[in-house]
Amino acid sequence: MNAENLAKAKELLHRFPKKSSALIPMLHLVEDEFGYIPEAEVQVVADLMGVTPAYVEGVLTFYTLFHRQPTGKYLIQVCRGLSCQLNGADELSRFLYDELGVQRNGTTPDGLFTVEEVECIALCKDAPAVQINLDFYPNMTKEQLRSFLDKAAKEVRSGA
Amino acid sequence: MPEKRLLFKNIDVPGIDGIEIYEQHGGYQSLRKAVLDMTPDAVLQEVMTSNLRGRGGAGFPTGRKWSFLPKDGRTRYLVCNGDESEPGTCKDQEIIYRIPHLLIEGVLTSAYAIGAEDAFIYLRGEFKTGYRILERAIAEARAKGYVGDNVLGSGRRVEITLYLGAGAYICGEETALLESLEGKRGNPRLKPPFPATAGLYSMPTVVNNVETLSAIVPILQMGGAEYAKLGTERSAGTKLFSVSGNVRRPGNYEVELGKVTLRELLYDIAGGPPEGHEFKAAIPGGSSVPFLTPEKFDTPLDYESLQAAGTMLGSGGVIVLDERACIVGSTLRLMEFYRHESCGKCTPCREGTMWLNQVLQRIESGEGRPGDLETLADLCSNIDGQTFCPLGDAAIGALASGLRLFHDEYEAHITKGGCPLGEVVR
Amino acid sequence: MINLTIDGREVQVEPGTLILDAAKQAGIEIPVFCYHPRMDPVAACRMCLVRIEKMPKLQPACATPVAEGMVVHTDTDEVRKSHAGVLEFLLANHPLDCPICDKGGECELQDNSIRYGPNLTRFADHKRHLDKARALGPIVELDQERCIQCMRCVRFMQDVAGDPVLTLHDRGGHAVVDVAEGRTFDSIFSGNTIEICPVGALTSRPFRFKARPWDLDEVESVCPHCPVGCNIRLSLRHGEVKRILSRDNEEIDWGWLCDRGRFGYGFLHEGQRLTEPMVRRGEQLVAVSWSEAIAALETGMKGRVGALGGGRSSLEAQYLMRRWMQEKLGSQNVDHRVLPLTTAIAPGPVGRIDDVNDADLVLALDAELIEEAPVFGLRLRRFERKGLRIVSIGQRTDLLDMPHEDVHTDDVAKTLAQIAQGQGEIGDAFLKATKVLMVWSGRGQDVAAAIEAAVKARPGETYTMVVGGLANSFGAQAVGLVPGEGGLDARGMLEAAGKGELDGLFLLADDLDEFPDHDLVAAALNRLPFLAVAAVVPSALTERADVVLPLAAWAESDGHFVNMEGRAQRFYSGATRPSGVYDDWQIMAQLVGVDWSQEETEAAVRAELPALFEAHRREGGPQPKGGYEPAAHAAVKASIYHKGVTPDPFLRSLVPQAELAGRAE
Ligand SMILES: Cc1cc2nc3c(=O)[nH]c(=O)nc-3n(C[C@H](O)[C@H](O)[C@H](O)COP(=O)(O)O)c2cc1C
Ligand code: SF4
Ligand code: FES
Repeated sequence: MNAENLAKAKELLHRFPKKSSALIPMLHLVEDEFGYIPEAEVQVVADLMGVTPAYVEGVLTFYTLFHRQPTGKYLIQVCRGLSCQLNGADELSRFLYDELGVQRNGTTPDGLFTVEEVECIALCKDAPAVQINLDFYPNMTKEQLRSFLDKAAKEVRSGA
Repeated sequence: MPEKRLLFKNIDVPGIDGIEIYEQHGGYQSLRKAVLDMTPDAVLQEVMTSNLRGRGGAGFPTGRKWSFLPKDGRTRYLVCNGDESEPGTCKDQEIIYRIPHLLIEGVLTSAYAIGAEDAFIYLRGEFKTGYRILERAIAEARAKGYVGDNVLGSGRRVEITLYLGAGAYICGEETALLESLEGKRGNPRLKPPFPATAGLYSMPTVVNNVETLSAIVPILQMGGAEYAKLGTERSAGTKLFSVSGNVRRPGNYEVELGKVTLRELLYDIAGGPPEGHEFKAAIPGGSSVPFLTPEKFDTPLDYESLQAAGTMLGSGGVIVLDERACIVGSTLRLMEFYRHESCGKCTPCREGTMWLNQVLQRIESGEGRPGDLETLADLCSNIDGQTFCPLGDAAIGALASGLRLFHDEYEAHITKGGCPLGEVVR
Repeated sequence: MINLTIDGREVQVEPGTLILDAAKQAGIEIPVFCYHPRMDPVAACRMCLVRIEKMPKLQPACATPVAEGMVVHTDTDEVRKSHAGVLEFLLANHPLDCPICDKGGECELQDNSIRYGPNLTRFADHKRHLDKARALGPIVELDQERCIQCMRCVRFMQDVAGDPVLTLHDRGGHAVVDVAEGRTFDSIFSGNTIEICPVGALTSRPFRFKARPWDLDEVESVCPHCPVGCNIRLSLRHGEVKRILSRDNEEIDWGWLCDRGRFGYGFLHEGQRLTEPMVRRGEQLVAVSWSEAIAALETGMKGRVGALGGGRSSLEAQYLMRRWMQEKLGSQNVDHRVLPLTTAIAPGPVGRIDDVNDADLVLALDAELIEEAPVFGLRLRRFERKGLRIVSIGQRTDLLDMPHEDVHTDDVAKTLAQIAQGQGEIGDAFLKATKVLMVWSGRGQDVAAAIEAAVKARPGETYTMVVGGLANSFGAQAVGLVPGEGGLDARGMLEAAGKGELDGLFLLADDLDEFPDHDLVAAALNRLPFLAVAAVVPSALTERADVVLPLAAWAESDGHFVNMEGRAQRFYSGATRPSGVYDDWQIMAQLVGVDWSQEETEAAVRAELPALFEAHRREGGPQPKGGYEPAAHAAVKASIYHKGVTPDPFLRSLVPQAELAGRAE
C-alpha cells in the first residue's frame, strides 16, 4: 500500500468497536489502489490485522468485489440480474466482448478495460444497468457504452 | 388506488438530499420529538402500536423485535441492513441515494429507542456512491447536532458508522451480515442465539432493513395509531414495491398495503406491459418467491393475501415477465444467481444449487432428458426447509413453482430440444 | 433432568444435552459429518436432521438441545429421505475414488452411505474437478475433490489450535479448503486434522498407502514425548507401527495430539537401533551375550557409583533402578534430573489437567507450553476463550499463541512472592480467585519455595503442575530417583566424575546431551572409569560407554508412565521388537535379582505408591463425563497383543535357574 493508504489502514484499526471489523475496509483500500489484491498485500494486511495470511485469503475470496488478478483501469460490470436480462443485458455484454475483443472476466491487452457480468446490482428499475468502477450507469444502451469506451480511451491516450 | 407516499413524500423535491431542504420539509422533527419529548420506551410503544413489520423480507413485527433486547445493561447495537441484493429489489437504493437524511433520521431515532449508542449501516459493496452520499449526510447531521456525543443536547450519544460490504448476496441475511461486519466470511450464524441476545460482537443487536428504519420517521410524525390505520390490520402502513422486468414504467412505488392489487400496481401505476405484449407471470417479492400467473394478479398486495395466493410479499421486488420471456431461461438465470451466491456452508444449498443449475442448463440448451423434471422437483424437495439458512428455500422458490405452473414449457424444451419461443431470454 | 421421547423411547438426560447425545445415550445413532464432540456445533452438513414434533422444519440434532417433553423422530420416511438427500448431494460431486483412498474402511462418508444413502445417484452431469493429492506440507496431503466441506479441519485450526493456517477459499460450490497461497501447512497440531477429517480429503503423508485400515492391529498406549501423557493407540501392521491415533481421554487430551506425539515413532523401524548388548574390549565395543554384558556391568559398577536418568522409562524400571542402586549397590547417588529440572512434582497440592475447566486464574511460571506440554496448551486455550484468565510470568512467554497477559521478569520467584502478597491487580485477583492453577517449568529452587508460600497465602484451592519434565519424570521422582541421604544429584555426580571421584555411572534411557553444562559432561566422560548405558538407539554416548544394554522402545514394551498430574497410565507392547532387546524393567529386574513379571513389578510399585494408581486422587474432583468413540474408528483391540508378543524375561533363558534362585530375595 502507498503511504497514504497505509495511514488510512492503521486508522481503520481503531474505527470500530473491535479491530476485526477493519479487515474488509482495509481490503477495499488495497483493491482501490491496485485494482486487485496482490499476494504481497495479503501479508501486509495480515500483519496489520494480526491474523494469518490464510485467514485474510479466506475472507477476501468470499467476496466478489475483491479480485485476485489485476483488473483494467475501467472495471465494467454488466448486470445480468433477471430484470436486466429481460431488458437486453446479454446484448450489452456481447457488444462489449466484440468491441473490446475480450472474453468474460477478460481484460484488454492495454489494461484499460475489464468486462464482467455480475449479479443483480439493485438497479432493476433502470434495466439494463451497468456499473463502471462501481459508478452506476442506468438504462444503458450500446451507443452509450460505445461513447464511454471512446471517451475513456481518448482520455487515457491524451493523458499518456 | 394510487400511490400513497409517506417515505417518498418529498423524494422529488430538488435538493432533498441536502440537510437544509430536508429540514425545510419537516426533516428531523421525528428525531427531535423522540429525543426531546419522549422516553425510549415511549418511542418503542409508538412503533409497537404502528404494527410496522420488517421490510427486509421476513415481515417480522419491528416493535416486537426491539422488545426482545434483554435489559441487562450490556452494550447494544443497531444495525441497518442496506445490503439490498435480492434480484428485483432496488427500493433501499433509492432511499439511500435520494433521501439519505430520511434513513439517517430513522436510524438515529431507532437507536435512541432501543438504547444503542452505536448504529451501523451496512451497505452492499456496490453502493460505493451511496456510501459517500451517506457519509456526507452524516457529516451534515453531525454539524446540526443530530449525531454525536450529545444528540440535540440531550446528553445521549448516538454514533453512526458506515460499513461497505464487498459483493455477497448472503450478507443480506442478518447473521451473515453481522459476520461480515465483524470482518469475516459472510456465513450465516447458528441460531439461537438470536442477534437480540448475541449479535454484533456478541452483544444484543437489532438488525433492520433500510425501509423499515426509514418508516420510523413518518410513524413518529403521525403517531403509531394513525400509521396502523393505513393498510390492513395485519399488514399496516405503506410499502415500497420495485417494479421491473417487462413493464412500461418500471420504478419504485409506495402504496398502502392491501389496498392495491398486483394488477393495479402493474397496470395502473407501472403502465402495463410493453406495447403489444401481455404479462405472462410475475414474481412479487423479489426473486426468492413463487411465481404468480395473471389469473392471480387481483391479489391485494399484503403479507397475508399474497401468502394465501401461494407466494410471498418478501422484499417487494416485483419482477414481471411478458409472453416473450422463457420461464426455463428465467428460472435458470435465477438458479445461476443462487448457485453463485450460496455461501457453501451447508450441503443441500451448496450442492443442490450446483446440481439444479446443471440440469436446468441442459434443458435450456435443448439437451434435457426424460426424467429431468422429476429429478428437478425432487431435488427441490430435498432442499426445501433443510438448509442452514433461508437462502436454500429462496433458491427454489421460483423453480418449484415454475415447474408446477409452466410444466408444459419445461416439457417442451425437452421434447423439442430447445426453447419453443426462440431465443428471447438468453 | 429433562425427559423426552426419541423414537418412542423415554430418555432422561441432563439439561443442555444435544439431541444427538441424548439419542446416543438411548442407543439411537444419528448420522453426522460436521459435528465433532470436541468442537462447537455448526449444523452445516445437515446430515443429522430429525423431526421434532411441533417444530415447522426438520432440525439438526447436533445443535438442538433437548427440552422437556420433546418428541423426536429419527427414523421416519421424511427423515430417511432427508438423510438420503444429503448423501446424494454430497456424492454428486464426490470423486468416488474409494479404492485408492487411504480413508477407505474408516470413512464416515462410506459408512453413512451404506446405512443411510440412496442406492443410486441421479447425478449425471459434470463433477467438479479440483486439486488432488497435493502436499500441504511434510505431513498433510490434501485432496480437494474428496472434501465434503464439513469444516472440521478449518474449525480445528481456528478454534482449537488458534492458528488459522487453513481456510476455505472462495465460496459456495467453488469453495475449497487450502492454506494461503505459497504457504505450507505449518502447525505442530496439523496431524489432528487428518484424524478428524471424516473423508479422505486430508490424509497422512507418512501413512500414505502404507496399509488398509482394516488390516491394522490396534494397541493402547500412552505418548512418550512429554509429561501430558496423551492417550494414543498404535496402529500396527505385521508388528510395525504404521500410525498413531488419539484415544480421546476426557480428563487429559480431549482427543488431540501434537505432531511430535502423532509422528514421533520413526525411530522404531527406520534408522539404527541397538540390538545387541555390547562390552568394551580395548578400543572396541563388541557384541556379547546378555549374561556377559550383565556380568561386565556388575563388575564395572563397583565402588563409588551413581545412576542417572529414567525420565523416559517405565515406572516399573524406575522403581527397580532405585532399588538396585540403594539396595544392591548401596549408593545414594541417584537422579533422574538430567534435564534442567529442579523438581518434577510441584510443591503443594498437585494440579490436574481438569483443573483448567473450573479455575478462575492460571499462572504460567516460566513455562513454554508449545514446547513442553502442547496438548495441555489446547485445553488452556479453550477455557481462555470462555473467559479464563491466564498470566504468564517469566521470560519464556510462548504460551501457544493464545491470548494472555505477560509479566516479563527475570525473577519469577520474586514476582510470584509479590503476587502472593496481593500486590497489584494480579495479586488481588490471585487472592480473590476461587481456584488457581499454576503451571511451572519445574526450574529453580527459589521458585519452588515461592510456590509453596503462594499456596499457603491463598484461602481457596491452589494447585500446581510441572510442565517442564519428561514423559515419566513425575514417576521417577515419585519412586525416588533422587539422591538419598548424602547422595549426589546429577550435577554432583558429573562433578565428582570430572574430578575422578566416581568409579562407575549407569545411565537409563537418557542422553547427557540434555544436561545444560556441556563442558562438565565432557570432563566427566573423560575421567569416568566405567560408563554403562541402557538405550534404544545408538548415540555418541553409547559409543563412549563400556557396557551398552539395548532397550525395547515404549511401543514394544509394557509399563506405566506417570504424567504431570501424577496419573499412572498403562501402556502396552504392540510393535515387534528387534530380537535381543528387552523391556527396561526386565533389565532392571535382572540387576535387582528378582524374577518378576510386569504385573508383579507393577504390584510392587502399587504397594509402595498406591496414590499414583488411584483414578481420582482428590475428593470432589471433576468426574469423567464418559468418553466419545468416534463412529468411524474401529474399537480398540487393546491388550491382546502384549500377552502373546512379550517374550519371556531374558533371565529365564539366559541365566541358569540355580543362579537365579540364589539371587532372589
Ligand atoms: C438470503 C437472505 C438475504 C437477505 N437479504 C436481505 C437484504 O438484502 N436486505 C434486508 O434488509 N434483508 C435481507 N434479508 C432479511 C434479513 O435477514 C433480516 O430479516 C432483515 O434485515 C430484518 O430487517 P427487517 O425486520 O427490518 O425486515 C435477507 C434474508 C436472507 C435469508
Ligand atoms: S478437508 Fe475434511 S475436515 Fe476439512 S472441510 Fe473437507 S471434509 Fe471437512
Ligand atoms: S452433524 Fe448436524 S448438521 Fe452436520
